[in-house]
Amino acid sequence: MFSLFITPLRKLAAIVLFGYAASFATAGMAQDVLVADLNEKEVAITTDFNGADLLLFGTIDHELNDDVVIIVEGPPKHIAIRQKSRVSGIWINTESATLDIVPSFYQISSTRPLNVIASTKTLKELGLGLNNIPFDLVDGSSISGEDPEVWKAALIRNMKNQGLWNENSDIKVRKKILFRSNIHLPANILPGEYHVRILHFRSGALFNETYSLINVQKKGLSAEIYQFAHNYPPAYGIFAIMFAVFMGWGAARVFRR
Amino acid sequence: MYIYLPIAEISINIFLILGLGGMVGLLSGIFGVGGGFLMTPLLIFLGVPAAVAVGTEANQIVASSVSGVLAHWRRGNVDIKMGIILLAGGIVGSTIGVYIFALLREIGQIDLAIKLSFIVFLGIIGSLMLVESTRAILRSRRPGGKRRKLHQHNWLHGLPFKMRFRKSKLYISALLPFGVGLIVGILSAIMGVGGGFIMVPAMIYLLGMPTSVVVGTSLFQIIFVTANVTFLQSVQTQTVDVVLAGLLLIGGVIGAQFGTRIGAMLRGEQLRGLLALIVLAVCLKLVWDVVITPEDIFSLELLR
Repeated sequence: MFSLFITPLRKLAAIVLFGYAASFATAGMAQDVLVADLNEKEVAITTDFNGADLLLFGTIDHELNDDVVIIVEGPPKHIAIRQKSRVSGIWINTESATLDIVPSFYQISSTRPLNVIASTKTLKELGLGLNNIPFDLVDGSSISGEDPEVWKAALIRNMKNQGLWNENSDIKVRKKILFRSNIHLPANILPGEYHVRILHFRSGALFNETYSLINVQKKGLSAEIYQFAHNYPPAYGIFAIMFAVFMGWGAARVFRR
Repeated sequence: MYIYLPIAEISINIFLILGLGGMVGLLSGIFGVGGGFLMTPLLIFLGVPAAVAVGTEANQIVASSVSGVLAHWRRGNVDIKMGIILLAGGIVGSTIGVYIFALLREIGQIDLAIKLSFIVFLGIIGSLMLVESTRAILRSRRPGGKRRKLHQHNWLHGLPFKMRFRKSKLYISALLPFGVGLIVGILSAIMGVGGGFIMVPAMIYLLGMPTSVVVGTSLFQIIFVTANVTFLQSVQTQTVDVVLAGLLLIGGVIGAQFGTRIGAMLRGEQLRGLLALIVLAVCLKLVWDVVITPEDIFSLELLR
């Protein structure tokens, strides 16, 4: 449903912006103008939610060694990582570690692969890339024996498999001025504020940056049910029972022969 | 068409859920069983978190037991006194069960505990049913076999607190049905089942109740025990998804209507044999899941 009305909007936005940007270019801008916007800033998780695709677009003064990097970060959470091992023939969770806050969603897109854009040191300093997401354990949690790198790799692999973290280099810059990037939010995202950072790199160094925000909220019936269940658990329990009794009684009446 | 389940927090094809409800409803109509013991593992196979599958299934069983008990109630096939003693045990058992459940969830072992419980009980019940129905089929081909006694007297009949159950024509210790209710209650909470598949055989073979009142009485008891589980899971773990339960129920009710008609055309021992095979197939799939090397030995859980 979402994608139905995004498509015409996307075309319109691209056309409008392209014209706008082109007029700037011909005027011969001396300074860097980094402007970016999103076609949607509110994402509603409703009953028919099955992920959302957003379009981020903007303009830069693009020179030969310029790059654009866009980072979208979802609400930070603690994550438990569990490791299974075989105990008398059965696979059981035997080890576990709890991570201090990491983004529950992380998408980094760029015009070229990150390691081409900037040095490892710069990427690390700016915290760019899946490998540079902080990997700190909460107090009292530890990784016994094994190499923490194995656990870190497991975290990245699993988050990627769930579609929550990803790294791509498919930002396109058109006519040296207009860039666009797709942001795919999968169905399993958490509600909250999604911070968007748009970075302009020139010759391997950060040159300019701008920010944006996406607000993901549960809305409608599914939001109300969730709120009810978590804010008033006893009342929700009674409601669930009454609902079931009513449904069962109704079913018996409808099909009574 | 996808629907976002508010408590499971996943997006799932609505027809898949309706179809699953319909299929399990069909089976429960054919075989006259509750179906929780099949529904919970199948939901887990579909990717519903195990804890949500259990909490939600308890809620759905409340509904299906209410619709099932009404017919038995009208025919007077419910031994209320026996039901209340079973229920007392069931309430204690299911309360203990929900606490065990919350504890296992905390330490990250709930998925495994649910799967292992299903493997053990589906394995035992499936094998017993298969053996029994095979024997019955063989016996029916060789007429003139001798009948067994209704029930034997043993040490269980020496227990204190004896009570008279008029409808069941029994004079037995109240501790027996209480104990049965207690054990089934614990399993009900941990596995998200009504427990009919354990309680019915226990009522017939252990308590010696007449078959005519067994199903009605067990359904009567299951309503209250699963209602207790629904309430406690809502309070303790917030794993009851009413949207999922409602969809499963709609599918289940329709499936059961066709099932009852098909069931009436098949013979009892063949039915039991067929059900035994289905139960064993689900059991084997679960064994397979915990025994084969997982794709990734690491797993994640986002904490709130």
